[in-house]
Amino acid sequence: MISENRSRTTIPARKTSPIQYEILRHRLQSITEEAAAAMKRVSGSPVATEIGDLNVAIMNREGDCVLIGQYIVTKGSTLSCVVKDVLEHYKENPGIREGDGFLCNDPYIGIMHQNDIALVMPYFHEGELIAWVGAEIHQIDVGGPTPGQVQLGAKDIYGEAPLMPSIKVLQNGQLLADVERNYLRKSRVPDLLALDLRAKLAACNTLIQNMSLLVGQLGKNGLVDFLEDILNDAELLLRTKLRKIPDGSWFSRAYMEFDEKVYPIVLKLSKMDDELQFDFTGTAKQAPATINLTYPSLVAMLSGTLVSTLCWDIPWTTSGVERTIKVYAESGTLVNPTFPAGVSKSTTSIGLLIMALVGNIVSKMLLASGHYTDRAMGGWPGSKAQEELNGTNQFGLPFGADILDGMAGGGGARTFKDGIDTGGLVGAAKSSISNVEHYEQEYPLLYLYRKQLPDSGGAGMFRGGNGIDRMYVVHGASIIPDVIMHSMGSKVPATVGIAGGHPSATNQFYIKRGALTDQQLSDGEMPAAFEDILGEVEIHQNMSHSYLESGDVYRSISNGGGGFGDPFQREPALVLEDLRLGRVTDETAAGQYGVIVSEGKVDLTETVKLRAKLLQKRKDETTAPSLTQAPVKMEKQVARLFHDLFIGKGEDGHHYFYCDCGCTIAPNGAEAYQYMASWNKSASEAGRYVDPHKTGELDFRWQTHYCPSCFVQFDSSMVRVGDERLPSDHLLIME
Amino acid sequence: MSYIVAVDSGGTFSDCVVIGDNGKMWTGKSPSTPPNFEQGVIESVRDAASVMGIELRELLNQTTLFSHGTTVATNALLTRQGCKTAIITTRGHEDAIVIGRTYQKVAGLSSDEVMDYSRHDKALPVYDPNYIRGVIERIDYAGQIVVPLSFESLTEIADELVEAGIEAIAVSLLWSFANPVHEQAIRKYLLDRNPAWTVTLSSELSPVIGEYERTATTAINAYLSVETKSYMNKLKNALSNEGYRNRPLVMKSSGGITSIEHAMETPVALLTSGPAGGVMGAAALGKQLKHSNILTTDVGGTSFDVGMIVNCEPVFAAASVFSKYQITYPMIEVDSIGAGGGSIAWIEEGTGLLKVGPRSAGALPGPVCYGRGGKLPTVTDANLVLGRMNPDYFLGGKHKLDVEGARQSMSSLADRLGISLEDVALGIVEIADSHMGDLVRKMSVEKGYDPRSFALYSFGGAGPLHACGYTRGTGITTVVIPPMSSVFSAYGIAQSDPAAVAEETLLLELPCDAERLETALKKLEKRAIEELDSIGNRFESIDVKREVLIRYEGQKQGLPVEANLPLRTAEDVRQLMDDYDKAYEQQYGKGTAYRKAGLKISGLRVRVVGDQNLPALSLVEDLHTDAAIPKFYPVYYRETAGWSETPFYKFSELPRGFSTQGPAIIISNHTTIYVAPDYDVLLDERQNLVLTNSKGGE
Repeated sequence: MISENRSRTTIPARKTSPIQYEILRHRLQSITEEAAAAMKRVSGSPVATEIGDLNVAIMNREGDCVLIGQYIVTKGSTLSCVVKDVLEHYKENPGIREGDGFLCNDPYIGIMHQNDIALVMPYFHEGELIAWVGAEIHQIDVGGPTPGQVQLGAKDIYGEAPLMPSIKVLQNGQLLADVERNYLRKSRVPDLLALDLRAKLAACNTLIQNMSLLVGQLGKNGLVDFLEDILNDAELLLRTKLRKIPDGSWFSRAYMEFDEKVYPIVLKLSKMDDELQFDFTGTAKQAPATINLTYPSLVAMLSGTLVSTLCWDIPWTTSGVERTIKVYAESGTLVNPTFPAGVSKSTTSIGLLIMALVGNIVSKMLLASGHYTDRAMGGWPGSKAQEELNGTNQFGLPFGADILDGMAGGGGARTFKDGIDTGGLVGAAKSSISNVEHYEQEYPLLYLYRKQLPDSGGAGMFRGGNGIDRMYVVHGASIIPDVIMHSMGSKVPATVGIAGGHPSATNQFYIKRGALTDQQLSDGEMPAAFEDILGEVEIHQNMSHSYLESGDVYRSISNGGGGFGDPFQREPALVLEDLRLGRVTDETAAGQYGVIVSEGKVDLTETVKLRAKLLQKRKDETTAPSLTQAPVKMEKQVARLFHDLFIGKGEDGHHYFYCDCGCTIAPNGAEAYQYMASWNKSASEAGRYVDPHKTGELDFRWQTHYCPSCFVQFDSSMVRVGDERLPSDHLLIME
Repeated sequence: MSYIVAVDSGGTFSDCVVIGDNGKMWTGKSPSTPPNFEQGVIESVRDAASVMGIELRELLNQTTLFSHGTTVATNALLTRQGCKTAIITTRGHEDAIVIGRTYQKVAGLSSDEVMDYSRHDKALPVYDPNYIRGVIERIDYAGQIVVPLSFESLTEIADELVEAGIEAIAVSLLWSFANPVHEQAIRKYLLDRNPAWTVTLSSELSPVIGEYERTATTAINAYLSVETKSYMNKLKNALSNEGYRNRPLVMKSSGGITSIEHAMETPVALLTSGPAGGVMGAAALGKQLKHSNILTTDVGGTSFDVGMIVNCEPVFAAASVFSKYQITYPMIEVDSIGAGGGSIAWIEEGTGLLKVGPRSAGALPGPVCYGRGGKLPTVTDANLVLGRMNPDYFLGGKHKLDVEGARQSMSSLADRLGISLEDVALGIVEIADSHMGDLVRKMSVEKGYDPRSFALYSFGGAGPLHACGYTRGTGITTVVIPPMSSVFSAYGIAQSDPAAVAEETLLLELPCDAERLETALKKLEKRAIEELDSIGNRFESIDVKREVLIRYEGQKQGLPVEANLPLRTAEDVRQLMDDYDKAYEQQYGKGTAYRKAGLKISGLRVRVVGDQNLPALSLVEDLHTDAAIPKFYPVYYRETAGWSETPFYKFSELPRGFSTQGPAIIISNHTTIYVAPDYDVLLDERQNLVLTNSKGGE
């Protein structure tokens, strides 16, 4: 299936004057902040109040998204799909009137998964529909066989949480008691849902009040024109930016391990003039349930990711951004499944993975641009380790908890500095993690630690930010009967490096049974590390359903960020600083960076020796290129592919790839990988916490490419055994 | 004659207000003198003394109360000039302040900055990153000791901190607010070990739930302790050398004054000392003018601050952000954006849109028209180009402004936008006004209040020039510009009584036992009154305000509900719950209350104010009676798309009961007041200028 997004060469001129436009743009932004703030305060769920797993949006009368808030991008961009659905189906029956509101969780309409509940409300002025507003929050439980969101063992969507296509829940501004009762009845935590419904209502009311203030100032037509202007402006600005980037194609691939199978997601980004084409050809056939992503949510996810990666100075207008993209996603695949394929955990399985994939591929494009090279980043987390707990808490009350510490993922490395340690997730700018005390206050847990994990960010000239590591025991209850651990990337990293930088740690879940009793604690035993606790390790993979009893120790590691550039090019002083502050260990300093420290100082002589030795190992172990290029003198640099790989114009008038060391690699347009040295290694060699138990050893290899002369690491990626190497990225340079 | 003297020492100026026991007021001003701020403080008092026609020593000899707002703590924090600080926390949770709930990377950023992912970063540390240490101990949610405190591990840590030359230590353990015994034992041990250490305990400073914010608050307090103490001692000496005989008092961010000793212990309480003074000034003035709901606005060269008074009481912040750290210490809420007279205008690539700020020309080089080397057009330059500022009357005519330079700096903007120079200037002012207006609106609307029920008070050097502009579109009908608007924070400090706030996290299901709640409130009341007593002043009476924070099960923030009467019966508790539902719907809209979810108390707060019976300002008697005769100058207006001759009045020449319709411009020694065409202006008997727009500025 090919989406026919409209590609326009002429964008209507702005109707609002430039000064008025700037005033109103600022106003609209602050209105979304006010609405999100209201929602956070009314919500009764830590998912909203502490974490900010929510968003709001303002849409025009056709339902195109004009502006989203700065929380989870996809919880804003998907609201547009709901409005369009209501407009398509309910105009006549039951009708759309002032004071109405519609609730929806149907992924085939465009919501990411059933646990995201959207509320949209039309805004009328003097009887005329002129805009829409909406709010969305992730709910801890909306029904279905398994508590929480991950419906393990579902054979299709009927085995997951119930679907609720758009339904009128508000009339004349009043909640309809029958509809609300039906909605709450399905959930294990109905009171939370009820409060959150009111939270969304508070957000929508705030938006509507502000819209009427705007109409008071601008008049009806003024507001309608202004909303249209923002949409057009975002499109125009993005197209202008794209024209400054060379045309070309970039490739990226990720793998999902689920239910004993591996599902590849393949993405090709082609940038032509002022348009982006996302082609998912080669992506696996759909799974029966849980990990698919419907086509409308895929588009909402893409636009949400693009605002985060390309719109640092453009209003977050997802519908405007969507006008600049084309999406190719074959029907019957993971990214365009056919009903009734299930999608219950699309968000942080395939969804986050696609965000990371798009982030990676867009970063490669930015790196090539020259103009925007400093905006390229190593991968942000393509997954997070998360667990959902259900049982009875320390007060004897039933509880459902979504432990979202994994949101503190490591930021991707930048081209000029390291990624942010526990910097969060892309597309979730203002989201947060809860205080340990807030979790312990509501749930029967005692955290033994929550800390940044050294070595978990991908190595590189600039390293990825470190991710988070946690360990807790049950406290105040004898058992938590349902513990559902879920993530992607526990065998193969979901977070990739860029331009020779390494991937981050894999996500890991461990339990040691009966290993730390209350008595041991009160005797003063307080283990600082999982390794310090006696007992056998129970390793859990991506999606696992278990329990925790008193005395069991639970530990989980979540993704850091991807690195940038060859780790051997990292300043030894930076490695020393990381060592001092416990951000890397000696093992990684030596093994990944080739840096030796003694008595608190870098031992330069030993470091030079070690780096030479490691480089020699690359020379010895790599497979030589299948093709070679005779040296050509370069006249000028034209573009950049990776950190050390450029395209230049040779003195013979042709274009070539060449390495920073001066080596001519290949003629431009050729399959560059064939001209590079390559090495397929064990994935666990990419970092200390990359599949440390070698659970994916038989399935995946870490494929790296080097300059055949100086052996600098050009790039690295994970490949499933038996899969073809992806084509190399290429730029269209006119000869 | 005896006097009250108040000095607000800010980043650029020290402002002084003197009030005599007869209610007469004098003001003084002098440049700030970092890092020796006390010199500027003394000079500003000398300036006021010279206005009064007496010697500095004579004034200070007869001063009964010296109150001080200071930027010393803020300055040390922003420039990271604090002392070498270590953190001791519960083992395993050393990274809480480093992780900063990940939100730290965007805390306090403007929405435009939030969009720029690749430029985010965590806060610069206020502690020595090598010395965050975890001690073996653990207390749980119920305050029960799970792992006893290990003195062995504490000894190891203390050894290291001695070795490292640490000056101050922040102790912040998990659940310390539920049971402070471990923190107290640690302090005792540390001070026995090294009495020179400054030790701050989280359970004393900020006994509230949330380990990240509590630790950040405690760490910042420790970090600022040495600098603050040293400054306070220098100030005390300087004042006594000049003849002041009592103990100086210091303004806290919570809007009350406190002893200098207490201020030294709690530098984190001084972070918005000056701005809180502005809000308290508005509260004092509001009582005279019978305004119970007020939005306070302060426009300086680089920032725009908004505070709020509801039912005659300043609104407190649920959480404040300083240098990306979230702080939980009782503070009057003052929201701020980078918009002011120095904000620079520019055109965005790609869109061709005119933008104003957030970059500022600051004090140096400053606006182009100041002629100190500024080349980029600022909001002040735009005001000058429009004729709203008169080049000959700036600062009483002491400093000539360069109109031609200001115009030239805008010519390239005019060319690119294809509009006239005057329209560019108008655009700059309107955009700056609208950014400020958005903050005014946001502050009230986000808290569930309708701005139309508020009066707006405008002060700060540039406030009166923009007040009509940023009030537009908010629906506010009344704008008040006080005569001492350029030293208003100092005025507020002079009008502030000693006060103390005590708060704590208390988790309690509702309905609860009335006696238990009453006991907890009484305990807090006692703590607050003890702090008040430590000031050593005598009070006419002590006003006690008690609040219970209530929330629905699962929610994070509680809403404060007043509980001023003693709680005795179950009926009293039920009344609290009903009051909560009412307050809730007031804030979040009708239909949002949901009692079924269950109600919980999340915390308590008690604020006590000692009434010192401060002299009220007397009415100004020596006003002119002759009609004021304006001079006419051209000013550029959107309404007429052109220049119109506009009356300029000198404030000092306005007669009793003066009133006129806009447009008009009123010039005083320190500020210029712009009365927009759709406003009326009236001079009241206290010399406040009251601007009104019957249509609410829409």
